[in-house]
Amino acid sequence: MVSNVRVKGRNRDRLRDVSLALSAGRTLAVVGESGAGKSTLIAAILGLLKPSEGTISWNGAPTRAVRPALVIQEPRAAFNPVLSLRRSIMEPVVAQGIVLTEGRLQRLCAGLELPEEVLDRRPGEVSIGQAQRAGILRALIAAPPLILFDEPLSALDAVTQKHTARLIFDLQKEEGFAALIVTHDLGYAVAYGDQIAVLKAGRIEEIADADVFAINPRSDYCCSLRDAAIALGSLEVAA
Amino acid sequence: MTLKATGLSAVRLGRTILHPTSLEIEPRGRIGLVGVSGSGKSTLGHVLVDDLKAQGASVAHVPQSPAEALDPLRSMAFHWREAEVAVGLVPGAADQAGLFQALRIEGGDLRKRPWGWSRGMQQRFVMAMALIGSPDLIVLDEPTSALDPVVAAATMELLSTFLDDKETSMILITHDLGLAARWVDRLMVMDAGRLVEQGRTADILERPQTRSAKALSAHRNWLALPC
Amino acid sequence: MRSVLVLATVMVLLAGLGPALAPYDPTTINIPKRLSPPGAEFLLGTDAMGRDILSRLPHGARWSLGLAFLISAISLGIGTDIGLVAALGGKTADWVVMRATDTFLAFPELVAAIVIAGLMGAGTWSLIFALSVTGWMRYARVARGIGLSVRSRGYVVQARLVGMPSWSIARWHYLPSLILSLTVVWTGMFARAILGISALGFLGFGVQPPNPEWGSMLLDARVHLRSTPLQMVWPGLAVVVCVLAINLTGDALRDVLADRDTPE
Ligand SMILES: Nc1ncnc2c1ncn2[C@@H]1O[C@H](COP(=O)(O)OP(=O)(O)OP(=O)(O)O)[C@@H](O)[C@H]1O
Ligand SMILES: Nc1ncnc2c1ncn2[C@@H]1O[C@H](COP(=O)(O)OP(=O)(O)O)[C@@H](O)[C@H]1O
Ligand SMILES: [Mg+2]
Ligand SMILES: [Mg+2]
Repeated sequence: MVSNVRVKGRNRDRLRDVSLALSAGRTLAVVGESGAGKSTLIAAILGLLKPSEGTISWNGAPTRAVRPALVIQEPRAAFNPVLSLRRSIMEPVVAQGIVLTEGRLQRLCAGLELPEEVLDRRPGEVSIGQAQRAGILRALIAAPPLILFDEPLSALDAVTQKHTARLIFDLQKEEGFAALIVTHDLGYAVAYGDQIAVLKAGRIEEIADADVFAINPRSDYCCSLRDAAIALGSLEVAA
Repeated sequence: MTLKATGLSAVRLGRTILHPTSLEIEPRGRIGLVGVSGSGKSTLGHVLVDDLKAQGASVAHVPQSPAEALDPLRSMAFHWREAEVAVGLVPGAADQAGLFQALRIEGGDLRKRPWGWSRGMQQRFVMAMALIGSPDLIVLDEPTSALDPVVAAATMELLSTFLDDKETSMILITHDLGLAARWVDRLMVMDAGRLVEQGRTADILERPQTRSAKALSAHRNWLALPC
Repeated sequence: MRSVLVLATVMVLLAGLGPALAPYDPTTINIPKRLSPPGAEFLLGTDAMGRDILSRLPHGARWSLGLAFLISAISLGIGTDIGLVAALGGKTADWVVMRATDTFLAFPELVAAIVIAGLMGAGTWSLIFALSVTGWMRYARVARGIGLSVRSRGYVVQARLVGMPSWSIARWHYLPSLILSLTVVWTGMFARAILGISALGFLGFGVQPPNPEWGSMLLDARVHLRSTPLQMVWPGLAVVVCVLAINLTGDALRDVLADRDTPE
């Protein structure tokens, strides 16, 4: 549903000839170095940026129409500094007039290892990892059909990362949302992505099924990315 | 000189989030601080920096969120000048171009305000500000969390050279055990506001003693878990 | 900080209660006693019409402070709206509005106000109009800056995405950020309005006699500068102290807000 998109930048294109498809119940992991255009891609999909060429749609309508959720990169900036986390988290619920099922909030909190008491504090009064998980909670709460995650686990420790990834995965199986996850962590991308797209300088370098990618990336650049991840110990590949 | 801080603690909203903790940092020490999210790593970092500054040591701090170090209504150029003046240089005296190049943020527009830069760039900018002087200690709170592995490696290389040149000690707060294994000699593990374990990095990663250290080291790898 | 608050409180109390405590009616003419020097009967002396200066000063405070409040509030309203239009209305609106703001700023404010007041004729209303239309630019600048920075913040983007109504985004996400900074600007503009009112009053365009207003009191006193110079000192002193108190309050406020804004 993203086809041939180009976003012009001042000196060079921020995105160039990018095409990809997201579908219900599936996860596309996007990796790439800083400045490759990952956040730009998210902004374009959400209609926050107008592409200068190409089209972006969700079942024929603008993406915004289905009220997609967004998890932004900077955890604390996702919350109004003067309101409690709980108020911001409930924003989608209130705005869309949704009635939460009994115990949904509790279940999400438990899955994210967030004590519920934390939600009554303001963003400046929680740790950054807690703010990041609260941001994920906010995206999940109203069960949207499409969720875009911009480096959702960047501030979490190894243990909490795994539990959070697991919750997102379980919920996706139940509710069938489409997910696009931008991450620096190739291990995460391979473990939870159905497909992996590698962005480099605004172009899609490679897009492949996750298991294929882990074993046999096509381009040299992707090989070096994979090897860096193996060296860092976040990715392990059966020989 | 060896930096010492004793009885560091913090109480917020009526709860103790850091129990009394004492630390000793030997010259040129490279110490890692790990622990689950919310265990009190950043709090310890803040309290330690305040304490050492009160003792008169020069300490640079790169907070976890660049927003803590940058005023949203001021341009990046302004912040840079302030940082130079803070270490006693005349504005323009620091090797800005060199630092920016090494950190790969030479493309950033200094006339912009912080929100005109990406988070990863802001983080490296704050680190560049910390590297202007020659502090006794530099405390880095998750310095690579917004960086891709390639840039993260380059950043750590630069930092390491800097530490060697200036005889500065480092405390590296991180959730990335791979990073810790590569760059620090000594590791401290926090849990629920206490230091629960410390020792040589390799020892802790290979033979963790406490529950929290065990959990961290067991969860290092993604595919070790069913999914 | 404490002393600043005391000073500001004293000024407001004088304006509020002063008229009640004043020994004489501020507009009663008493020709035999004209131009009396300060003494037991008239603590600060009388003016050319024999009116008691001590009684006129607090009444003048009413005019000066009240009008300044009104004027700075009107320009606050105009400026904030214009600034937000620039920030949120898209590129073209921004360009148009900011060029207009620059154009207004290019004229010396007071000169422009004098021209406008002169064209409209002397009187309180033309004074209010002239000072309001020349006083909104700084608010507009600040509101635009804040509007732009808030608009790109994560929580506002997310609120728009989930379909939160615009008015509630304005209420919960924009207002808190605006209030803090605009209050600081407002204190500066309040002081400026007092000066403007006095200046126009002194030039004869402002509040008309016999109403006591500091600027027009200065104007009246000027004629007798040689014989009774103290007459000019009192209203002048009142303006200076008032402006100083307000500016100091603004500075103190800025410090408090800066402390509050920085995260631990
Ligand atoms: N200002 C505050 N008021 C109340 N509680 C706070 C405040 N700051 C931190 N806390 C709490 O103290 C604990 C430790 O926070 P801290 O930021 O030090 O964690 P951390 O180990 O750095 O976590 P992370 O890895 O998520 O950044 C958390 O439970 C947090 O909610
Ligand atoms: N607000 C902006 N205005 C202009 N260029 C931008 C802006 N944000 C990002 N860019 C540029 O677009 C490119 C892609 O950036 P981004 O999508 O943020 O990268 P990533 O998320 O992959 O790190 C970079 O070259 C960056 O400098
Ligand atoms: Mg990004
Ligand atoms: Mg932290």
